[in-house]
Amino acid sequence: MNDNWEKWLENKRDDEALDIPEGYFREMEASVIDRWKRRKSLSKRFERVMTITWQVAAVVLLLLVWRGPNTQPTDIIQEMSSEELAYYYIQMEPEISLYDLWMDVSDVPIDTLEHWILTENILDEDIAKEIH
Amino acid sequence: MNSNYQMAEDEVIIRRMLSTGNSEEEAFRIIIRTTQKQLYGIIRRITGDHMLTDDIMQDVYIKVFENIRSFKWKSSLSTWICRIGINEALRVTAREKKHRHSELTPDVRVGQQDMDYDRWIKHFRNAIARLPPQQRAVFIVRYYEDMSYKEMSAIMGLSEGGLKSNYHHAVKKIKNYLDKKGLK
Repeated sequence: MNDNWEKWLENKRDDEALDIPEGYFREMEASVIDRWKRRKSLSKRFERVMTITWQVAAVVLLLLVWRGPNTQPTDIIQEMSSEELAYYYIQMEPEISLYDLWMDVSDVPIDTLEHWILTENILDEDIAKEIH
Repeated sequence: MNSNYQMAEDEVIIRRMLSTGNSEEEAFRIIIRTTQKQLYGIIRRITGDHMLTDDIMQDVYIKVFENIRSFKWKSSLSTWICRIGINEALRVTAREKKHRHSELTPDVRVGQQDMDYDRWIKHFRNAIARLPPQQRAVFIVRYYEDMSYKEMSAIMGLSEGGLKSNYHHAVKKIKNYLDKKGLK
């Protein structure tokens, strides 16, 4: 049965050519090559930007690693007295709440802390400079 | 369209050009020139529209150029391009059909031969346009491009049995449609 259909179709050829605009294939080739060139140049530009970004990031990382031991705040904090610590937190975060400050420096009485927040003038100038 | 031998020769040239890295553009031009007519014929008959075909052709070649470095050369380049083209044409026609909420109109140019032939062509292409997308693609590649089921299997990623079944169903539907129109 299937063979019959195939045979039937063999005698029915659609030989009508497709209606293709003149010069289409040449124009299509030019257009595709042009699109590809533009994409290639865009992607090269993007690659260049990404390379620069990575280079900058690498330099920043190197700087951080290099300067790290001198500037690690945790190292300083560990050596601070409660008074210095409270000053440090108040300087870092002037809006710090009394409760938050007390959580960080719990060995200082709360009214003392409140006084320090209000005055901010809790240390000798020399100690403050050292912390900075 | 090139013979298989010519295509194989072209592919050797293209591979050599791509490996040097200096003649990339020329290699791409050869790829387009050796495949565009067959690809156009298949896509145009699937979509039934020149503008749509043009969009798809351009996208297909851009995809090919962007991915050619990862192409393994296990199949022929023209097979790979054809496969991308058919998949893209089916995807776009499905999207168009969804947007238009109607069947694609067949691409018919009449007036070249006698009236009976023109009428037959019109309804024949109408019948093709009404086929489900996969059957339509299989029918077009087999009927118009005269490809063997083996070649079609490499291009369309379907088994030869599946292709034969799709083709026979397509032919049956076309014949039934033409019978209803009183055309033999």
